[in-house]
Amino acid sequence: MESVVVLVDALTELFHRAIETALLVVSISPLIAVAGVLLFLLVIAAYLALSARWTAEQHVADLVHKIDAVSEKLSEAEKIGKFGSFTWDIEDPSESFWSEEMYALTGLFQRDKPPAIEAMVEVAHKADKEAVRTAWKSAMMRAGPFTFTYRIVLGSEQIRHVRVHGVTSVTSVGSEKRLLRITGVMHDITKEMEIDKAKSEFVSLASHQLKTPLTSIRWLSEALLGGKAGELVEKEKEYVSQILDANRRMVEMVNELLNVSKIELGTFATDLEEFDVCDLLARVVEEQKHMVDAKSIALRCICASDVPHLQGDKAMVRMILQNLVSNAIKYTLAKGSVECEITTGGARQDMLFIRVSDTGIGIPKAEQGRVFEKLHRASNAAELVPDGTGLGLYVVKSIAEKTGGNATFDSIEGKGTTFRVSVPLVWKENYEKKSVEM
Amino acid sequence: MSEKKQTVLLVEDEAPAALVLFAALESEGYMVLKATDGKEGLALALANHPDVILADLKMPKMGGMEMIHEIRQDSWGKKAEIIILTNVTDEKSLEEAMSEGTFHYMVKGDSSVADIVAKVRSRLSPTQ
Repeated sequence: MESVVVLVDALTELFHRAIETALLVVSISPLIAVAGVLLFLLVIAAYLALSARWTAEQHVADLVHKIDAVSEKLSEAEKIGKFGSFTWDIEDPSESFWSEEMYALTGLFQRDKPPAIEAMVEVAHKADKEAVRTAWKSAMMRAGPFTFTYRIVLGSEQIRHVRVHGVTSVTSVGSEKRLLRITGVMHDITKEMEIDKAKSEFVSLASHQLKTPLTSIRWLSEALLGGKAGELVEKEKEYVSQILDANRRMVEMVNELLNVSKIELGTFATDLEEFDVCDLLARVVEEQKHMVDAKSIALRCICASDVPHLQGDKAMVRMILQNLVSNAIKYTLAKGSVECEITTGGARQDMLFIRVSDTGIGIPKAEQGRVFEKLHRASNAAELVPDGTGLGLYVVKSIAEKTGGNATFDSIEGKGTTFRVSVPLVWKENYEKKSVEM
Repeated sequence: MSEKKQTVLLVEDEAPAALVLFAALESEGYMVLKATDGKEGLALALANHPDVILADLKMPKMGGMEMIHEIRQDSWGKKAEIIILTNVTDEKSLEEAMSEGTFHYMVKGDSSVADIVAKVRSRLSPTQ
């Protein structure tokens, strides 16, 4: 930049001298005067060209300075927010980029590792590697946003939980769409995970501690009702029955909280056994009989004849069936109908499909996006049955997804709802060891 | 002819639960010994050789699992009939119970007093 300034100064000086010389020369000879004018114009042209270049360079320098400042601020923000940013150029990987914080999060050194997706897989916990690879493959094959979380093992065996949010963008070449690049951020969520784990452990402990006095209340109430402490008068019987009913509701709530903490802690699917899922459905339906009869609901359950025995966690499958069937009955008005069906399917005939349909109150359209959210209850459901926890469907979806299945629904408010849940026919052991969530 | 009453040792720190169970077992004709922690339970078990031990797991001074482990070290205790009665339902506790040779595990929250009395009855040999 200095050299340009010196040059412009020199040219300005030259320009002044040229004018003086030209005036002198014109007085001496017209021919020399013409040559002088030409030289003068040449000098002016050079002067204008150089000053335009100088202005442009100054502009570029300003921009570079601004970019540096923004970059520095971004880098600081990344450090504070514990996230790193990356760009993976699908067409030309050499154009890919990792911010400094990406290296810090993955525990890799900039000088040793070029920014590559394989490096992100390499640092993953060995139990998460395959799932991370699959997540990346799927992101590279489909345009749009994606999110997944996994564990990174740092040098000192320290575990870091990260969440990757990204977008795969496309470019149109004629009528063809080509995947261009993946842009995203990696966020350190270790603290969040620790807090979540502590919270679940607390809920688990608190639930156990709550269950003990609740059991005592139940046993004592039952003993009173059974006349173990002498015959009760009608009013006393009514009151004790109310105590028992309140106790039952509270036990149900504690059990649901316990189930959620079990699923969130990952301490499930450790007890795999082979069992008849159709038989399990029949039992679940039988347990709801009193409610079905009380509301005169037409209940029809079908189990396809070719459904094999399921190899999985019976308590978890029971929880899915119990939640779906009891919800359908709970949220269907008197004289309505509920239908459940169990079939098998999937590309390799390796999935169990559960469908539960009802002619109940349905889910308001505006609330349908939150149906599987923890603790969420649709406004019309809360109005009809005030003491629900909003945990049942969250539990259903969590179990289905953690085992590799799915949970969906269709609903029209005032007309009814159909839930469809799938789980594998053969479960793997210890789903809790896989922490990749997509 | 008088029959010797069969003995049940009830090890339970939760007073209301112990109260109901004690009354229910006694009304079934059993002689019921009561302990409120594992340490007391261990002493009563080794001194009285009860026919059945009904043991809670989470208790002060000495937990139920530790008490069972100690009982199993005794020559009589090796074959003692023990029923675990608890609200702890994690896999680890179940496995631990099995490794101590205790296969009768009842969840308080899922059982009625009648269920528990029936279980005790099923573990006892017919009255001598």
